[in-house]
Amino acid sequence: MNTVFKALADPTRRKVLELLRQRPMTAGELSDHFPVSRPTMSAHFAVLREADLIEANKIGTSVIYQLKLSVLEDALLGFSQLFGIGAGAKRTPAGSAGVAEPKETGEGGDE
Amino acid sequence: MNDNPNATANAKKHILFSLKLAAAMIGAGLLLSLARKQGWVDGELVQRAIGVVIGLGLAAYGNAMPKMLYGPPSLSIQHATLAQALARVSGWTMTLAFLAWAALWAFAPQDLLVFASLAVVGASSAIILGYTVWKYIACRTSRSD
Repeated sequence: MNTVFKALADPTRRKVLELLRQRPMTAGELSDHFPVSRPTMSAHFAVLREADLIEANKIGTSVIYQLKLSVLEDALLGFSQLFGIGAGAKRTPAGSAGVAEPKETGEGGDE
Repeated sequence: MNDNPNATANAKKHILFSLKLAAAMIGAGLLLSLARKQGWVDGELVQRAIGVVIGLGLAAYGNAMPKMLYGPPSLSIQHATLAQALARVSGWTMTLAFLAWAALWAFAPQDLLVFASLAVVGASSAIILGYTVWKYIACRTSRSD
């Protein structure tokens, strides 16, 4: 559960989950909504995957991310969005709340 | 990814969760029966407590349902969108319905109890079925356009 709270504490990751609520998206589609580099986004995706909040599936040549939230996690996400938890947190170049700047990931080019 | 190496582990985890939940519900039922035989509680209280246990157990199952409903990888984005929407709506509907069921068994008057709790579950099933049919038709219509 700790990994879930850690994942939900970051506004970027919450925004990713909010976007995925509408429909599953590719890594590129998601990255286009944020002014950060693809490796940084990949690190956010890794945190979300580790918390078991999203799932990556390969369809054709694209990797799509889709939500994998329990009802309680969905409600927690709603509450954290409502009260803006973590919105005032100090931002680092890699976002915030435990995302280390990745050295190298290939996920930005998964599509 | 497509050939998810964790699929078997996830399936085992979900089966284990379901078995633990079932064992907890059966265990609670047996304990309540024992308490009744010992004369600690009366029959109506046991009946209501078992109703509450069943409601909470199935609400817990409904809570985990959106995580469990992912089967084989989707064939297309539309299929993935449909699966995600159905998993979320069924999970939320089942959880809320069985929380309402548990609340009814805890607090509703005896003469209303069975009818109201069955009505709640019936309504939730109708919502899930209606939503599934609606999304399926919408998906087919958008594909044929």
